[in-house]
Formats: sequence, C-alpha cells, structure tokens
Amino acid sequence: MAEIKLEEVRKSYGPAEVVHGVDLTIPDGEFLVLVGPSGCGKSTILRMIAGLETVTSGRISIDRRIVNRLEPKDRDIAMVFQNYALYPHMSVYQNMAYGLKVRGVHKADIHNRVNEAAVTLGLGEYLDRKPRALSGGQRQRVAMGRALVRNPKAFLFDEPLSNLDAKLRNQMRVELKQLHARLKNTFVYVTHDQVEAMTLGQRIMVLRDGNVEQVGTPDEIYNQPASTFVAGFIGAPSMNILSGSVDGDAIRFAGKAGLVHAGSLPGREVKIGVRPEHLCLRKEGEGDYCQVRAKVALIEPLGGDTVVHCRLNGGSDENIIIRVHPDEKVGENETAILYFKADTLHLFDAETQRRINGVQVCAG
Amino acid sequence: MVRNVTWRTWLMHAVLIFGTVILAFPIYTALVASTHTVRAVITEMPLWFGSQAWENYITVLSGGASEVGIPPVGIMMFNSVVMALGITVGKLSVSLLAAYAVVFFRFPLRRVFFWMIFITLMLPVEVRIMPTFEVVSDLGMLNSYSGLILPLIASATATFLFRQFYLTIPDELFEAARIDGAGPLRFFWDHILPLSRTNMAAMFVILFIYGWNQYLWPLLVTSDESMYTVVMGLQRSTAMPDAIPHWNLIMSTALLGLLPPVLVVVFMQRLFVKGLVETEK
Repeated sequence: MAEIKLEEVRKSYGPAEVVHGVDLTIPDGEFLVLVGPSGCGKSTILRMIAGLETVTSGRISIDRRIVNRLEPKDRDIAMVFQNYALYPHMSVYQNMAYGLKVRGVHKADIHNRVNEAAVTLGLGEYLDRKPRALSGGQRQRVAMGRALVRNPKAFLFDEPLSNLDAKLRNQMRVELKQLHARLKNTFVYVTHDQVEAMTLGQRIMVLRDGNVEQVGTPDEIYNQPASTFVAGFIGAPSMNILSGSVDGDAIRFAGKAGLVHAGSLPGREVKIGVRPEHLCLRKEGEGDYCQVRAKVALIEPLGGDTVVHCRLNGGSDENIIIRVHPDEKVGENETAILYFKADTLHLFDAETQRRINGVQVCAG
Repeated sequence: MVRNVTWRTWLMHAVLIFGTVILAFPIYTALVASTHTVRAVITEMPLWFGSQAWENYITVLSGGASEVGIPPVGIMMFNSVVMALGITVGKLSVSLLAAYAVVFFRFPLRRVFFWMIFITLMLPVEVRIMPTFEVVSDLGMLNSYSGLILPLIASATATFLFRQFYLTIPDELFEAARIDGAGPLRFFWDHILPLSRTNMAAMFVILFIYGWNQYLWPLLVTSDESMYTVVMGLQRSTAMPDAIPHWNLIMSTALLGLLPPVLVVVFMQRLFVKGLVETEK
C-alpha cells in the first residue's frame, strides 16, 4: 500500500530524450493505466518506477521515500512482464516462492503464502509443473502469483495480457479488475490497448512521444479528450476529425455544412471531432441536429452494431465513420444524410491540436 | 521404385559398413594384440584372439611391466583422470564465469575483452609452448598436477559457447530475478547454472576428452615417472632404447587408457546430444 509520486521525471539514452518531464501522483490504492502507441515511453516510465532503468533527472518516490538510487529489490514492488519471465527450470511452486526465499522468509510462511495465492489464482493443481507444461493463461497467472505472494507496496504490469489470445485476454482483464478490488493495492499498468485502459483504469495517463497528453478518469478521457491525439487514440472506431474554417461567427466544414459558435476561437482553422456513435442516419426526436451528406464506401457488420465508412460530399474528400444499429438499411455507394447533435461534437485548435473549451456551438 | 530403393539401401549400408570396418580395425588389432605373447605379436601379427589376455592385463595393472619400459598403469590412469578432470572442471568454471561477465555486465571495454578472449582461439598451447613452459617452471610447478592443469584451463571455445547460450536468455528473466531480490551471484547460482545444465554436460564430454588426450604438454612438464599420464606414458614405452617394444603389453595399456573417455561418452551421450541440439525454453 503506497502512494507513488513522479516529479519532473526525464529519461535520456545518450543525447536522445525519450521521456520529457512527467509529473504524476498515484494515490494509494489506485489502478492507474499508462497508455499510448509503441515508443511513447510508457514502458520506460514503468521500468523507472521499478528501478530497472535509471532516472536521468527528476524524482520518483514510493510511500514518501525517494527511490531514485534504490535497487529494485529495495523498493518493495512487484512486476509482471509481458512474456511472463517465469524461471523455466523451476516448478510453479518454486517460481512463486523464489522471491520470498531470497528474502529469507521462513519456510512454513512461504508454504502458506504460496498455497493461498495458488488457491486465489486457481493454480492449486499445477504447483509441481514446470512453466513449459502450462498454457499461456496459466503462465500469466503464475506471474501474477509471484507478485501476489510478496504482498508488495505496489504492483507494476508491463503489457501483461498482450501475449494471450483475445478470449483469454477478456477473461484475465476481468480477473485483474477483481484482484485489484480485493487487494486495494496500488496498481500501475502499461498497455497499448485502449480497451484495457478504459476498462481497467481508475485513471488513465495517455502518452505520446514521451509527453503526457492527458491524465484523467476514463470518462474524462473519453468525453473530454484534451487533444486530437487522445480523441483518436481512445475509442474504436476512433473519433472522426474534420477540418473546419472559421468565418465570422460561423464554422464551415464538409463543404457547406455549418455551425454557429458563441465565444472567441484562437485561429481561423479548427478541427471538429465527432464520435462514430454520435452520428446517425435519421433524426431521433427533437434536437439541435447538424447534417452532412456523404457517400457510403464500405459497410462492416459487427453483429451488435454496424460500422459504416463514408466519404463526405462537397470536395473536402474527408472520410467519416459512423456506428449504427444493425437494422439500419444502408447500401454501399448510396448517398446518405448523416445527422449529429451539435452538443456531441468536440472542437480542437487546428494549430496546437489541443481542445478548445468554453465555446458554445449550435447548428446553423 | 521399390527395387531402386532396395539397391540404394544396399549401397548405403555397404558404405557405412566399410567405414565402420576402417574405423574399428585398429581397435580390433589392439584387442587381438593384447591377447598374445610378445613373440607372437612381433613375429607374425595374428588376426584372431590368443590366450594371453588375462596374463597381459594383470601384468600391466600390477605394475609388472615396468621392466619393459611401461610405467605402472594404475598411477598413469590416476594422473590422467586428475589432469582431465582438472582441465574440464577448470575450463567449465572459468568459461561459465567469463561468459557471464561478458554477457550480463556493462563495463568499459566489454567488447574488447570479449574479443581478447576470442582471439586466444588462435593461441593453443602448441603455439605458446616456450613462454608457457618458462612461466610454469619459474613458478616451480614442473612435475605437479597444477603444472599439468593450470596452463590449459582457459578456454575461448567454451566461453564462446556459453556466451551464445546466455544471449538466448531473455533479459526479463534477469529483471524478474532482480525484482525478486537476487543479486548477480545469486542469479548465476540459482538460474544461470541450472539453465546451462545440458550445455555444461556437452562441454564436459568434449573437454574431458581434450584433457585426456593431452600429449605434448605433459611430455614437457613431467620428467618424474610418478607424474606420467597414460597418453604420454604409452609413447615413452614404445621408444625403449636397445629393446624390443612389448606390443602386447603396450596395446593392453592403450586399451585401458581408452576406457575412461569411452565411458564418459557412453554415459553422457544423451545429455551431450541434448546440449548440442536443444535449448530449454
């Protein structure tokens, strides 16, 4: 149980800086997810917390103790690796017991703790097996068990579910969430998968090229993305980003469609973001609807809903993706009118790509 | 098709049998010679076993062949075993640790050190024999086990083999062990050694035979008969001045000297093959 705090943490490899000053406080017991595309520095940050990488500058503290110069073993953290990193020559029991054995825990105590963890993770009957005789999901459980028995201050996960198949991944995700709910320990979890980030995290930190794009609850990240990058990264299919030009108090986009805004915009160009599920093929009840005309290019039926790829009319040549109910009858190459409510859209500065707050818009 | 296959099978077997006969013939000759009297062996080499086997082996083993120039076999065998095991164990320990340092530690000039080890492949004992002898004699190690063993103990081949194996061990294993609290020595003892087991067995076989077969070096550093090894002792016994070599006894000695390496190969064959072809995942 511990609070983890990062202050102005930077990491360079030679002249190349890969993490550009991260500030973050992870309160005791929080499940924080670090998410971003590959190479964004998320694993590096995790490994710095673990002590596997040195910190170039800045401070990391765990439980109000600065750990920059501490060896991993002295930080009292446990880590689960993507490829599990189980000791191949040791049985499941020995794998889980190893960390305790090295720390000189009493044999009987080790026995109790390993058995308890094995029961929790459903590994009871596999304790004598070698890792190579286990399936991927079981190996993952052993890796978690190895972390669990130590009862550390914090758990670190480095893409732990990436090597599992899709079905198992969903199952393990649920188990992880239940585990956190039961242990109430601090979890730091790295992933590139936005579904894992949204479902697991109490808070999410979105990273890009070593910079923090946004930190917030899943709800904030999804509904108020701080930049076009976050908007595009979180959510599948990702948010549609259209270009718009400011003309007095009107914003024009997709040819001639327009919006009226109240408030001051920073430049003459803006980006307009609309989530695929906020677009529909007909108006539902009263509301302040905008509309655009588009040609259907491709239909992807997913069963539960249907994803329709369209090309906007009006010479802007922009693609737009909508998600509709599977009962909607729409054919490829048809022209459709797409509706969305003005209050569902997001405005971004075209130059900085940051979110524009405090500007009211309505259909015009 | 069937006839074709039969014909080819015959041919293949013929080639294999021919090769086996060529390889086995010297050993057969030695076996036959060791069962005859010296007179029979020298006058007309017999092609079938005689009746002197028991007497010959007893003579050789009991040290009764000393008067015909063959040092006591028991002592020579013991010396050979000590030397071969010393070289093997020494080479294994040195190269396991050297490879561990080169692969898992970051220190200045790491690559330079690795290549320095590597180029010693070009400097076997035969090439550096004069300076090595000088050093060993200055240290007063002539006619001693340490003199026999120490100069042969460094091995670039084994270091290289273990390095290649260590490189296949994922970094995460090391990191997981670090988080579990194991230091470098503990990691080596608890993880690297058990994982290298089959590789060590394979190297053990190769190095034991290498050590056993050492000839030139023991010839140089031992002058006392009590320090002779089997391989060089045999050579000594064929070169008796003004006497007929007792080939029957020499062959008995040779066959006895062949036994330990054969036993090592036979008993470690399965591990040996495993170590060469399989990497434990």
